[in-house]
Amino acid sequence: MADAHFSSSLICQEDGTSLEKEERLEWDMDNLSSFGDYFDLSESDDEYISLLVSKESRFESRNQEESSENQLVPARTDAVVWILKTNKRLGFGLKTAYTAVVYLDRFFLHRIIDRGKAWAVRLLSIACLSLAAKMEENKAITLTDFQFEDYLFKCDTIQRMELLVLATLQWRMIVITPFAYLSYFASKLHEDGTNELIKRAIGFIFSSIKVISSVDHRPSVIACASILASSNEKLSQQLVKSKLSSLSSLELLDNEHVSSCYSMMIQEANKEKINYSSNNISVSGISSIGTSNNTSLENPCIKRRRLQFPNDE
Amino acid sequence: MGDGRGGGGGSQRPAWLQMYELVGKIGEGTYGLVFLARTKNRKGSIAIKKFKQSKEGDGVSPTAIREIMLLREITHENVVKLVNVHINHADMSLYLAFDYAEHDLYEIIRHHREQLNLAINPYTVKSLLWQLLNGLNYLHSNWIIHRDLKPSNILVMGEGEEHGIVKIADFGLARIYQAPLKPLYENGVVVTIWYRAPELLLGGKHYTSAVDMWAVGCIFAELITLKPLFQGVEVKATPNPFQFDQLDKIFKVLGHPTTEKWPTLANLPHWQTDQQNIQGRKYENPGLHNIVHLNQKSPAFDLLSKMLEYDPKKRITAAQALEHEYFRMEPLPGRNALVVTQPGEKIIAYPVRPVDTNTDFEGTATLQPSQPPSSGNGPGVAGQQMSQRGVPRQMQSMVGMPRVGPNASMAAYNAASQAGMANLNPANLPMQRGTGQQQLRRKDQGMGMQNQGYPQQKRR
Repeated sequence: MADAHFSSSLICQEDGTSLEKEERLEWDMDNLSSFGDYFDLSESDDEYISLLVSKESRFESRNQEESSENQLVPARTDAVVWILKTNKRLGFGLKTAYTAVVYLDRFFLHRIIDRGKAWAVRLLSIACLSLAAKMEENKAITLTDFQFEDYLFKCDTIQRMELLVLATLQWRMIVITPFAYLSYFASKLHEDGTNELIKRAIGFIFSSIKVISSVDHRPSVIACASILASSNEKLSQQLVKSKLSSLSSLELLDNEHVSSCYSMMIQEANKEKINYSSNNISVSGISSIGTSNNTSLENPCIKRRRLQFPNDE
Repeated sequence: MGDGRGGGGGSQRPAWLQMYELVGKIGEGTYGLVFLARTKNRKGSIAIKKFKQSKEGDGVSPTAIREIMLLREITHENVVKLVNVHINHADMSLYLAFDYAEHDLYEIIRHHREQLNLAINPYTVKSLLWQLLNGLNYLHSNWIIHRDLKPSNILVMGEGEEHGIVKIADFGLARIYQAPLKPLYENGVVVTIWYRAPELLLGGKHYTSAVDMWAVGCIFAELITLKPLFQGVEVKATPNPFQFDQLDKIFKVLGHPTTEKWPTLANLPHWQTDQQNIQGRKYENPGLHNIVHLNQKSPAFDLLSKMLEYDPKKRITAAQALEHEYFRMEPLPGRNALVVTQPGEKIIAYPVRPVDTNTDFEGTATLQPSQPPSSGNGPGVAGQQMSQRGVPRQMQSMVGMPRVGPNASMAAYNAASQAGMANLNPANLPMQRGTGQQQLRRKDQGMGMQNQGYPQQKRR
């Protein structure tokens, strides 16, 4: 008994966030059906894509000078991890999770939460996810769905936080996600723009979501970088540029941004590879489909993790 | 409702409420209540829509979020303008402030039918229709389907700067569709049945902006005849029962739909399952022109029949309709649909909206039990009475609302002042993007579906 208890608490501390990411490996694949729409955008949608890109500028973003990796709010990581985990547990689609993270990023653009106020970060995460679910999910949600684990917020409290998020975002809740662009870029940048490629790209988007903030990078840029990253060749900056030059219809796409986004994605994926090979699961490396590191699925730790979540089947 | 938080005794009205003087209640629906109010710091009246409380535990209602978020993205002369969003922190209810429109097509049509017994002037019909299409074209090109167009949702501005201008309202059921031409899955009740498109009546789940155009066709006919075109008897049941009577009414006028003219008809659920009912009946020859009393060769009839095309794929779009010959011939449509300046035409004084002054912003309390019925009271009269009576207790009991100067408080969506949750946000980062967004929004206007000018507009 003592042993079992000890080992489970050890895992709990040690796995931190990384195992949650491994869980995601499975649902990345399972939940692709929720992207039905994105797989059948054809090249004839040039006009639509241009319109979409032009509409991105409506949404809030950080000034270029302000934005850098270092400026990501520390609380953001915890919040993103919790959102992804809970999104999966509640069976929401991937777009819901992504939308919730966008709300989170937009919120942090205007307000900060003091260090140490973990409860506030959790409350914010809940509000972002419940709002995203209201926008994206077809089934009805109640706030009690979010009452589990360590923090038990009253429904009233969550609703107040929802209102704070809505007011802070000035009720501008429409989100353009990178997923809307994937099949378009897949067909433009690859002759074999298959669903496999798109799946890998979705993997790259989620594996880098902790370091790539939606207010620093436009969805079209993230989408484009993820498609480039999911092709298995290594691209130099020069090569990225030449690839992008084929997208003449998208003048608004910033090559520099795509390059830097691409590098971050590759970097995150590499971190991951190292983490797996050295079996150092405590580092928050994020697995991605693109690294084709499928052996990690058989990592015994996943099974142990499951023991801690009896409701996770 | 009011939960009594704040310990009572506070005589301070919340800052947002201080901007308004309540006149009275002007509407009530499943969504909630609508009030008429005046702003203290600027001229003009405001319609305040109060959303019904969401069910305990549901949080902020998705309908409210959708409506507000859509209204935040759209700016067009022919779409109602959202001026402000207020959060009443005591009970977390939401209040939307709109520019007030004195008239709507329901009341205008009724006035002509019941009071004047006189058809609506052709200039007015054409101007109303053109502006309705202009607003709808803007919505559709921004991928928004209204889904509930009907005469009572088409507002017309009363006297003032925007006199006679159409404003499409009530976006409670509106949806943004994900991509152009990608139909949307129906997830609830849509469109009052008299204005509901046949593809929906036949059980179609995926639908497009063409459902709005069908409704416009029905409204066009109603403007001409002063009677709803297809007055079916609604079957009340959940969820979404088969509305045979409504289809029957349509078929009697437009004839039976056929798979030759409407190829995807065979795929619609009710066409197959209710074959006996629908396909079994024989309908007389189409007689739309007899009902609307239009010459079959007239441009007006041509436009109407293109709006009432069975196949949603062939139905005329808002953009195409605006280009129709009907709008290029005299009388040309104009900006003030209500005032005809042609010699010999007399100006019709449409009745003002009835206001129930025995109400407060909660819509529950009776403030002035001794006051005579409000009929005939101009808003001004009622407004004066209101302001003397002050506000209901529930509103007074709110605390923790930062006071905001009158000018600052009209700056729309000032989250910092409205959030009232400063303790959650010790740093209280100021909103920095206000001005930037104004610029963006102005840019959007040009970027979006712009006002096409009125066709060869003359001075009126």
